[in-house]
Amino acid sequence: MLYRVRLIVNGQQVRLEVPVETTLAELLRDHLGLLGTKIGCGKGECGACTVLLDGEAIYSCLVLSCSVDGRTVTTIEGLGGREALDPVQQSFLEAGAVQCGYCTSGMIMSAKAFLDSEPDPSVEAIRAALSGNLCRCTGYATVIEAVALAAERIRTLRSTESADG
Amino acid sequence: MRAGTPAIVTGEARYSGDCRKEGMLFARVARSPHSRALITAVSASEALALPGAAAVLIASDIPGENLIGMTGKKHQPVMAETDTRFMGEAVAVVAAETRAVAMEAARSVRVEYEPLPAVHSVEESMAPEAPRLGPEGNVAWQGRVTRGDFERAAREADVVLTGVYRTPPVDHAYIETESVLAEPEVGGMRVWSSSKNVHLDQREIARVLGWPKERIRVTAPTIGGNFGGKPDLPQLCMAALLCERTGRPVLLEMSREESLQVSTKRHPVVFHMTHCADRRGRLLGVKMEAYADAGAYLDYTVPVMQRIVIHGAGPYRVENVLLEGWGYYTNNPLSGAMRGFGVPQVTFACERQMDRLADALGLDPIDIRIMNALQTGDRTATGQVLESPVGLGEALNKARELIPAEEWTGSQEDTSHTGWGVACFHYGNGLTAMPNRGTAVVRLLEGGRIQLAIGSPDVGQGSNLALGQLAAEALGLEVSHVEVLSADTSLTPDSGSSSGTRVTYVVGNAVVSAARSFGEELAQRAAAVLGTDRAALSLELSAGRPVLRSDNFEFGLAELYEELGDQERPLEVTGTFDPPTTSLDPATGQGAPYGAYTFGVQLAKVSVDHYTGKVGVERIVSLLDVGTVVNPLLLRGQVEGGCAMGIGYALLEEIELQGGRVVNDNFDRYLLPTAVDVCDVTLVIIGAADSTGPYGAKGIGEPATIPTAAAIANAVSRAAQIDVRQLPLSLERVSAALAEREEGGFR
Ligand code: FES
Ligand code: FES
Repeated sequence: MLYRVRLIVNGQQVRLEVPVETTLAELLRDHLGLLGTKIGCGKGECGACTVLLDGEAIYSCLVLSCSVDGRTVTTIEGLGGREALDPVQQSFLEAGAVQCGYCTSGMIMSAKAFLDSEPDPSVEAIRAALSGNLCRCTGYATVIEAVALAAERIRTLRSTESADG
Repeated sequence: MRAGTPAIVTGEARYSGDCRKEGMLFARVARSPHSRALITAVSASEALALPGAAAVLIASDIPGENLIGMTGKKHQPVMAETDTRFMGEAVAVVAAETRAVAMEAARSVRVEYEPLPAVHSVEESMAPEAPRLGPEGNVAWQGRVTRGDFERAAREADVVLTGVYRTPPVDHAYIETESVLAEPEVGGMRVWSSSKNVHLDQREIARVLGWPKERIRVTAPTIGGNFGGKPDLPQLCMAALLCERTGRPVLLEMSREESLQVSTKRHPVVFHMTHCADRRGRLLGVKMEAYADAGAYLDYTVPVMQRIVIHGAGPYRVENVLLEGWGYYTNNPLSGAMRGFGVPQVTFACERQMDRLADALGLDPIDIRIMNALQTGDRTATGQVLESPVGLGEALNKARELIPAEEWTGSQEDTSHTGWGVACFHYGNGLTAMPNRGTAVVRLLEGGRIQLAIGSPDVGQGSNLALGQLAAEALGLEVSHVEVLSADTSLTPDSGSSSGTRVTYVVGNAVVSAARSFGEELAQRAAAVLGTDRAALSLELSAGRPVLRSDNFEFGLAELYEELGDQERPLEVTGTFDPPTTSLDPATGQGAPYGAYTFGVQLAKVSVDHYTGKVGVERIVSLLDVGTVVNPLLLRGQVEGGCAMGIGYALLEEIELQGGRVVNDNFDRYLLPTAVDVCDVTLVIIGAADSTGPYGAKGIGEPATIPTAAAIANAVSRAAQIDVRQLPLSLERVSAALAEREEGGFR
């Protein structure tokens, strides 16, 4: 059975018909070609599929597309292109937080949502915030550093913005 | 310092499971639900009749040989034909227009089985009444390393200490599961595989299809982790078979459940160790019997077992050794290569023995290691003289300085115990006791671009960057001037696999040699074009771009390229390196199996909750002799990642098998370390340049994880005053040991 879904994905209106059992992760990858969102377990355990749903980080492999009709989704492709990296993307690159990179999209999306709510986090808070995202390569230390660096960068940006404004 | 990853942080990087092609079919494997069974009938008609089903293949459809293998011995079928030997073994493969139809078609393949008694442990496999599982019986491999006279050493020793140690099967658990895309290409086929060796993939596919290998091009896209695991050879070949049959692109993905059930595991091993020492703690002899579960087919059991016996006495000076190993076939999932090729296992057994020996003699664990550590000029267990500098003793002395004495002792409180543990290791770089040539090509391309081409894939560890740096160094340029291309059978030479800690050392040497010859070639060509003397020219940077410079002019590489004749383009130079190794004497295992060894010491600080048995790793100090460091950030990444993997091996991970079925087949029950399970890792670099490595460098990929579990096991033993003999140190295991200790059962 096909189900009609309307979403705002990375700022674009999309309307499509998908089989009712289609998860949001499958919709993004197979129907919209947004292949930056990865699937590592399909069971809500690894975090590779993390995207933002109305600004909140969720496991897109656990969410049925039909249940998020009308809502707003941001994926890694919606952050910044190569020419205009988001501070979180930039920090992951600089801190050496990327090895194979398969966990990276999900890590960045989790970090993004976390830093939106917690602009000045402690290392322990960062650790806890990332504990739903598995990485088999890095041992997490550089990832944690990347998030701390991103937090600093975002704070600096905001303070210059408000100084300007 | 880290290059080439913007595509990853923007989500543009494509992994093999991200390949999407016009007209692509989805494939799915029909797998055996039995660990051991005869196949009496297979019917594909129902599956083929499903709307949207495109093809169903079984073993008898294979046009070439139905035999594959990771090493020279080919004895695993792509799909089982007459009998299945492990649960989840492929029996048929289907392709369909959608994933859903592929799933249904795979379920609709009717296979009739006649279940047979199965063997699920080494003990069962050894039993006289055990069914015969392998081509030559149930012993997949046996061998030994022996030197001196162990029995005499045992008679003369003041202490003889025995112990039995067990390690679990664990999974690579790369976050990207195995995926393959095969697509038709004019005259042949192109395959995208997240592999550690595209040239091996090409040969295996060719044999199975019955094609000349030149018709098959294998490319590794971005790889989502490897750790010795990928590719799954049956999957690789099944995708190719379906592509050949249908003439369409075929994507064959694995779910996490499939991956955990059918991919290879780190060998579970039982060790019987005997250490003999004099009163002062000097090792006189070491004896080891190692029994490993090889699983259903050979895969990497031979090199893993070789490594186990070669490294069986640890990184110590021991005149009398008898190190024996056996790999037994069972009907469990295959054991294969996983980061360390058997050495994490043997290090656990050896290093527990060293700590117990220290206890028995009233010695400090670091002191006893300092007394016995291999030094420059010593002989290893295989009789190889260590000619390059050995930094182990220095690392141990440094370790002693780093930890204050009162902290080192640890503390036992009512509710929680803390303490430090130590473990040493050595690890031979490259394949074991065989030629394993690395090859690299450096090319001058249009526009004066310099390209380094190597076959060995960057499996996520950053080898493309490290090798690019070595090439740049040899050319006297910056790394940004070298474009690195890897892992494409059409464009890169066969440099061997990205495994066995051979990329930096073996391939790196080939890169340096190719780059040097390339620099020379450029200068000679330029001299000929310009009619000047070669000696007057040198390759240098001018305003940030490479030029050939003489006293009074500069000649750009783009201009040089333009001057080349059509036949000469691209200008290309090949470099090779084969490490100085010998084969091992079949009777004694004596010889020089590796060209270089990485050495190191790891310290781990743990806390143990007295009531729950929960172990926390609070800090790790990793002291490494890796020769010259090529890239500090990559090195750090390997070490921290290796420590995390070692924490998992020590505390969390174990593939639970019930009758050959993996019970914990997803990450809800197969637990990996998360960001809250890891700790700070302090990295201390020790030692001098290696005399054979590229600019003195040695490898780190596997060594990074080898000592971690052993150091943690020693720390837990010391902190909680228990005697750890088995991994992982699960809550149940630790609390049971603590309870036993309470009852006075300890020592
Ligand atoms: S794929 Fe969604 S959490 Fe793993
Ligand atoms: S970088 Fe490989 S899984 Fe995180």
